[in-house]
Amino acid sequence: MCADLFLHPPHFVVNRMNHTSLFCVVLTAYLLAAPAQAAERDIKPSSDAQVIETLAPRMRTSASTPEAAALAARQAISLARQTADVRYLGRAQAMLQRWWNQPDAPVELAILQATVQQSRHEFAAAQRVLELALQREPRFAPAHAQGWLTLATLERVAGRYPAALAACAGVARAGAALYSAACQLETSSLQGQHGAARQGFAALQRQAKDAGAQAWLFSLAAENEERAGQTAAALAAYQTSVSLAPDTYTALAAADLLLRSERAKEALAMLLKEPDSDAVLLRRAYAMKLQKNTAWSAVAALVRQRIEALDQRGDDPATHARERALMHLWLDADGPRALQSAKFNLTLQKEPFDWWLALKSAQLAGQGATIDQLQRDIAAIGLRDMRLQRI
Amino acid sequence: MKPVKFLVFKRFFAALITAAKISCVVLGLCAPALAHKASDAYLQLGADDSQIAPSSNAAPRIGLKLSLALRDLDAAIDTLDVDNNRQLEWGEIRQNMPAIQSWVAQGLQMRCASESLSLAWAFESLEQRSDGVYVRLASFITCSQAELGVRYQLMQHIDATHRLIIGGTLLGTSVAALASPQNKPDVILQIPVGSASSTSAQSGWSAFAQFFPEGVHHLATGYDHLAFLLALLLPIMLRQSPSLKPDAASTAAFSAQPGRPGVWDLMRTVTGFTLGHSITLFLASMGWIASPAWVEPAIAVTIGLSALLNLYPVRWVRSDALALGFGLVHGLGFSSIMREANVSGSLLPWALAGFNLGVEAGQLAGVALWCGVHLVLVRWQRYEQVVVRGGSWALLALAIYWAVQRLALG
Repeated sequence: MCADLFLHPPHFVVNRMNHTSLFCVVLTAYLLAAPAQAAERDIKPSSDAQVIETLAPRMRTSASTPEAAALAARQAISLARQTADVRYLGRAQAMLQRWWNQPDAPVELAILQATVQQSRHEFAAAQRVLELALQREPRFAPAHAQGWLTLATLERVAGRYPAALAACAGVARAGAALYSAACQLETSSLQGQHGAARQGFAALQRQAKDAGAQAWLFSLAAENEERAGQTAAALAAYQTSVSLAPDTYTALAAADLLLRSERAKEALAMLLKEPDSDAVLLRRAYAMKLQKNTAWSAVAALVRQRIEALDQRGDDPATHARERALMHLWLDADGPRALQSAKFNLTLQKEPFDWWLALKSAQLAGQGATIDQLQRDIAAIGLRDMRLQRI
Repeated sequence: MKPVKFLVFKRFFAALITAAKISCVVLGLCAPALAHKASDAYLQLGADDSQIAPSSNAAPRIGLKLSLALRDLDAAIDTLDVDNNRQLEWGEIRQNMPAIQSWVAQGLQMRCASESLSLAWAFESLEQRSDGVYVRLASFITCSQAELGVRYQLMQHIDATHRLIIGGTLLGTSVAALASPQNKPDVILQIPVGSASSTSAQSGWSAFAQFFPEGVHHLATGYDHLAFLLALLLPIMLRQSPSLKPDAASTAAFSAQPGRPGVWDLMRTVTGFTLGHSITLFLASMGWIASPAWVEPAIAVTIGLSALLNLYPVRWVRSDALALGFGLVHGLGFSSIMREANVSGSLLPWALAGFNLGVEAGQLAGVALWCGVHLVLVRWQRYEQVVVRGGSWALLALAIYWAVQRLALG
């Protein structure tokens, strides 16, 4: 086997260093250097004035009164949303700790607890807390509007549309008419009333005063168009929404639309300024894979590392079920495992995206019978979505 | 020749820049890091490598490294951001070090069986992790009991989901545990006392057995040694490549003679490297020569020069001689591990032998892997162009990167 001797001849010519070998250089260097970068790296400051870390705005770290606790928790929750840093949800919980899971907690604090739990995808726990809190008197105080709205979201996520409509009515009785109307339109859009929802959202967009509310309404309208199968109108509405007020959730939804039609470059552009959350990284990796950019595997490795880090922390795997399923579907292209994770994910959340994820995984796994069963389940909860019907 | 060289470097830098761009996008290094998980602190246990002289106490010393996120310290210590501009400067961190140390002291206690241990935390370094910059403190304890208790209550009322992730080794046995200030502040770690690795009762053979895997591990995770080996192996052909013209072999750079099997060159080169690094490893571990500060950047230079010689061969440079000469430098690099392990007296030769044979075993596994990959890939038409030349360019790029990094950080 190891028969003849050959040392390679030195006939290297610069001009022959074509794209293939250039690419090879970059890739090899990158792969060799990557392990060094993935681990923690020491920093040696050169002067006292060197900035080492940028800190978030100062927040209270102790609260003795419910009012102070609510203020501090709200600050922490919005900081977590802005930065995609889950650490601040832990801070919010610490501010609420004295009232956390207490049956006599002020309703406002219970609603904030549910918001923290919902942000961590602890849907069942969030719903229990909300239902208990909103039963207390007076049932429809203005302070409860956020609670009813969150409850409606949780009901929709669980695929219980009639219960969601009831919670939307609670929002109206708590005095937030615009939010209640949007809540009802969104729910009835899921049930297939796409035309009515389109008109309704257009009317609300004219009423809404601030850019934040308008952006939110445009993102709801975009989702409605997606369910109606109007991809171009949906994309336009997403873009309007993002231009009014940038928002990670909307950017992710728009990127998903683009990825569904394999418009990887536009999807990457849509996510360009988003913080590197797991959801964002997953989509970047998939878009790069679609572009046949081999660096995608390094991003994929980072996603895996992060999911491992979550396991190391001993966090509930349920909180990352969707990301796990997406990882198997997009990055591993492993149909059976994707389907298994996607089915588990459906026990936690049943948004159109979760059904889509399961259907696509079943398709990849070549399980026609499962696709049929999923379609029956979708029909059973009353969800009408053109994207799903086409699979 | 000059315009050609210029082109070489232009293309080379283009390659480097592309690599840099990709890493920025991929790892988010260009943008401030953002966390994907809740707040964690890390406690790493391991061999004590502090400079403090060992006491006469025979109990084994356990090194501790505690990493705390600056974002967490900011919430815990009001005075951290002295000027309140929300930009944390190195001076502010330095100024607050006593406050950090006393905060850690009140929230992290350890005990050896039932006896409380006093911990003195010294600042070691700042470190960049995936979710921001951390402060790393170092300390050590001595404990010859079977149980090491940790009580962790830092961040208790500040962050409800904060965790301490405990890892590393306790006298050679890996540990992994979690402490939660809210729910489970107490953790008991088992110390394998009385086992082979307890320094006081260690036999020569057990020192050998303990250091053999250290050697394998050091080679396998010390990418620079593997990169050097690869640079030496790349030009060796165990089988004719279709990309090679039959008469081309006679122009071969390294002193191989036509007709001699490539496997022979392989063995001579690998033996040269082994001989070289064994000599300096032995001398440095025995304390007869010192390992100078320039060793780490010099190792990067050896990789770069070897790769460069693959690309621009010099007739009189033999690969086995090169392996022997540069092996001397790598041996000094290996010796840092032996120094940190702090083995002395009659155990040292055993530990050294174990470590060195571990390195050789790791090296042979690497060579075997290369052989396999080589024998498969060499049939490829473009093997020589892509694997040998592309690989050498990549190694050169990597060597420059390492050299710059090590010089800058050294």
